[in-house]
Formats: sequence, structure tokens, C-alpha cells
Amino acid sequence: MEIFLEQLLNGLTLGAMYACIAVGQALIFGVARLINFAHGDIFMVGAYVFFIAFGIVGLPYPVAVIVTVVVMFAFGGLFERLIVRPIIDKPWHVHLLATLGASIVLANASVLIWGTTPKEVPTPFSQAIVEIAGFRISVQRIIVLGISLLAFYALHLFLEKTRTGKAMKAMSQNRDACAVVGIDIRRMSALTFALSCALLGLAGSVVSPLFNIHPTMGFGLTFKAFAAVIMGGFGQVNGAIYGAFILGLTEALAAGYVASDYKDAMAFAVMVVVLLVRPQGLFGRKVGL
Amino acid sequence: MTKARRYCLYGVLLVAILAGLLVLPLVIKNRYVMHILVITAMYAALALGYDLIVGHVGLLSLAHPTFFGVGGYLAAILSTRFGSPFLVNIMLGGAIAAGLAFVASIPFFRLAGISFAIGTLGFALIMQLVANNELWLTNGPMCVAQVPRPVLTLPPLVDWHVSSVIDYYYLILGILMLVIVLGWRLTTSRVGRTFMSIREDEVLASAAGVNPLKYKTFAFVVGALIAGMIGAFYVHYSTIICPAELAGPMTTTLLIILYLGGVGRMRGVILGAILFTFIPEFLRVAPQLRMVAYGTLLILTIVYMPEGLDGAITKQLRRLPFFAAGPRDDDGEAL
Repeated sequence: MEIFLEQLLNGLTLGAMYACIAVGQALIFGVARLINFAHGDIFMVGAYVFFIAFGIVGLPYPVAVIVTVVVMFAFGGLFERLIVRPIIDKPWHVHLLATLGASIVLANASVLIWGTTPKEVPTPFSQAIVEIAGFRISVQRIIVLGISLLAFYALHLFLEKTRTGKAMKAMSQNRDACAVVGIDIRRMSALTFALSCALLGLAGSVVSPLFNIHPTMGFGLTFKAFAAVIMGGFGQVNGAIYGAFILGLTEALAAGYVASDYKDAMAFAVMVVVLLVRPQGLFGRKVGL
Repeated sequence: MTKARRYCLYGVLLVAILAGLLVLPLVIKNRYVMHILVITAMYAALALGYDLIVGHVGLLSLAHPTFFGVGGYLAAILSTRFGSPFLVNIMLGGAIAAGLAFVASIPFFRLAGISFAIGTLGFALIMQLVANNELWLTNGPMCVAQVPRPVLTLPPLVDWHVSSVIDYYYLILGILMLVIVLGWRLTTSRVGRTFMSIREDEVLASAAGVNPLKYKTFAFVVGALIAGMIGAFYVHYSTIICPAELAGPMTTTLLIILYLGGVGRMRGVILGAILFTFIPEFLRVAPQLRMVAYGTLLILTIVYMPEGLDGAITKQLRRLPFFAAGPRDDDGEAL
């Protein structure tokens, strides 16, 4: 029972991390019709930005989180301008190769800057433990869960209530019609990237105190996020979140009970099987975000 | 310039290149340079097989290194445990890769476009995990090492102990020539034109009576067959194979070779292999810096030079009267 609850919490934390990455993927795919192979590497960049802000500069934790989010928001805009805008009207294989190129550049540049040794960024919270109903839980895990759920709720409100959010939803349903009614498609696409990357910055700054960060962690995470996005149905934000949590939980439980050797194979197997058997995703088809 | 004279010129050029390649070991005494040449030829052959799938049928498979690795692993296991001879290994390596490709093609060809790319990548990553974890078969991260040097015997005529790098050079040169002839015959035939029709528009091709599935499977299996054989050669050369060889960096290397040189163009792919393996060895920089440069190049190529270097060079050459394209009369003279 104790092991089960521990793995459950592990799974939820993992799921929250995957969800932050997958939501961005789903958002980008929905609005810009682009599959971003560099998404995990941008998460890695976010984690290192947090490492600089918190570990090197020594800002207080909440300030460091905000700085990371803001920097990553700008990074997303820059990424859209440099990599995405020249290719957005080209076929999907160009998207794949260009973003894969970006992934290679980011990961290797990061190795050049930081070396291959993993970095630890412990916060005061990663050591602190609270007891809830007799279970000892690291405060950082609670922060991860709380912040990410809060962020998803904020994103949900943004998409449902604000003009800009509605425009994004509309774009994911029909791009051309949006252009006709005067929605600035390019600005929306840039904003989508900036938002997704800001979310990655948030994920990087709440998650990296729990796990070590290293330059090559991005590629694997990109595919975990793919698996979640595919489970949720391409381009559906809510589906991607559910998919990410399912993935995180199954991985943690499999690691706890079955064999941890094939923990990572789970994501890839799920991805392949869902693509083959239920390409519309596990939760049914719907148009748009 | 008549057609006959043009072909004559190309023929002379090809013979000259081949002769040059054959006498190269006599000129180059440096073993390291010869090693790079072997690797270049290996990548060229591997990329040509990959190009059949990506460039000609238009299937962006990301599982190609898996077929290379599976062929390599089979050869390594057979020769280290059972001492089976090189020729048998290379054939079985090709056969198992082709068989695996056939089996994998049944589910994966139900996917189109980006789903196919992601699905095949998932397949490659799973195979890599299998190689990493099934210690009884693959030794896992400890790799299969000490693969013996190949011996080619055909008594009483041939008894060739391949041991020096020059021997390997001739061996891989022979394999490369075979792949080039095979690829050239295939892509310039009716089959090759069918491949292209599928790449350009699968629905239209099937409306014209082509069975796309049949040709896609054929290209996929032939590409894997070549990859498996090259993989078997590779383990007999490097004497070691590790799980990383089944996915990962090799995928990006192959993609960069293809797209930098010119996808779907034989000359381009060979050019890409030379650029990617031969030249960087002489620019002594950190491998990561090289990868940063290649990633940037990949992005720039795909955006600004979609037909690769070969396409760009051909375009420039076409401006010269000698190479000018355009309508020609029966003798091949420009009209």
C-alpha cells in the first residue's frame, strides 16, 4: 500500500511534467499545424535558464520562477521568428527536419556550454517534507502538482474567456476562415509559441529541483510528450493533459511493480499502438483545441 | 554535342573516377585517411539505400538505423558465438533486416505522413531498449565486442583474409559499387518511375493502376536489406556493436547526408556522405560544435535549398551552354 501511494505520487509528478510539455505540443499543433521535434529541448533550455536564475544568480525561488517564465516567453517568440516562420507554409516533412535540426543545435550547444555532467538545483522545498495522513511527501512535489494544475486552469480560462484565446481556438478549427475575418494569423502563431515556451519555463523551474538536469534530456521528453499528445488526439489540449497523466502513472507503477528496464518503452509502445488502433486519440474526435 | 558523345563523356568520367578510387590506396599511405574513406563509403551505401525509401517513395522512415543495427547484431552474435563465416553473416544480416522491415511495414504502412515518421521512430527506440535490456542476447550496454576479421574463401581461387584497412577499403568499395548499380538500375527503371509517382501523389498513382502498398513495401524492404548488409560489414570492421547504433545519432546523420546532398538524387547522396564524413575529420573541432553546425546547416538547407547541394549545383551548371537543359533534337542538341 505504501509503495503504491508513493508510486502514485511519483506518477502524478511525472504526469504533471509530461503534461506541461505535451500541452505546448498540442497547442502548437492545433494552432500552427506544426509538430515541434525541439519541444523537449526547449524544456531543457528552460531548466537551464532556471538554473542560472536560481542556482548561479541566486534569486529567491518565486522570483527565479517568474524570471524563467518571462525569459522563456521571449525565447518562444524568438524561436517562432527564426525557425518556424520560414517553414510554416511548407509541407510536414520540412517541419519535422527543421525542428529536428533545432533540437540537435539546442542539445549540442547546451553540451558545449554546460558539459555533460548533470546539474542539481535543490530548492529549500525539495528537502522539506510534510506529513499528510501519515505519509511523508516532499513539498516540491506538491508545488509541481499545484502549480501545473493552476497553470492548466489558467490556460483553460484564457482559451475560453479571452478574445485572444478564442482567436487561437478558432485558428485551430479553420485557419483560412480566421484570416478572412481579420485575425492576425502570424501574431497568433508567434503568441502560441511564446505561451507554450513560457509553460515549458514554468515546468522547468518547478520540476528541475526534483530531477537532475542535463543537456540531452530533451529528446526523450519530446517523445513522451508526443505519446501524450497522440493519446489525447492530435492537437487537443485537454486530451494531451489526460494522456500525460496516464503516461506518468503507468510509467511510475510499471517501474514500481513490473520491470523498470522497459519503463521508457511504455511511452513508445503506447504511442505506436494508439496511432495504429485509435489514431483519433483515446477520448474521441473533436475539431480544434 | 550529340547524345552519343555526351554518354561517351559520362562513361569516360565514370571509368576515370572508378580507376582513381581503385588506385587511391597506393597514393594515400595514411591509415587514418583510409579509415575515413571506408566510413565514407559505408555511409554512402547506407544513405543510398535509405534514399530509396525517403527520396524515391517519399516515406520519411526514422527506423533505418534499426535495420542497420539488427543486421549488425545478428552478424556479431553469429560470428562471436558460432564462428559463422563473413559471407553467411552479411547475407543473414541483410535477410533478417529485410524480414523485420517486411513485418514492420504491415502495421506502419497504415500510417501516413508524420504519423509514419513518429511511429517508425517509436519502433526504433523500442528496438534500442530491447538491445539495451536483453543481456542474454546482446550483452546490453556492454556491447558485443571482439567480432572476428572477415575471411573470404572460395577454394581454390580465393583466400582473402581481410585485415588491413586497405582490404576493408576494397571490400566496402565493392559493396558500394553493387549498391550504386542496384540503385541506378532500380530508380531508372519502370519501378523507379512508379516509386516517384507514389511520392508525388499516392492517390493519383493508385488511380492510374499502381498498387502503392506493393511498391512501398518493396522499397522499404530493399532499403532495409542494404542497411542490414552494411550493418554486418560494419561490425566486422569496427569489431564492436552497441545499442546506440539502433537509433539516435545515426538517424540524424543519415537525414543530414540525404538533405544536405540532395534527397532523391544519387549524386547528391554520395556528395552528402563525403561532406558529412570526410571533410569534418579535417576540421578539428569538438563533436558537439560540429553537430551544432550540422543542425544549423540542416535547417538552412531544408528552408533555402530544398533540393540539396546537388540540386543547387546542377541549377548553376545548367546556365552553362554545355550542361544546358531544355528541349533537344534527336541527336541531343539543344534546340
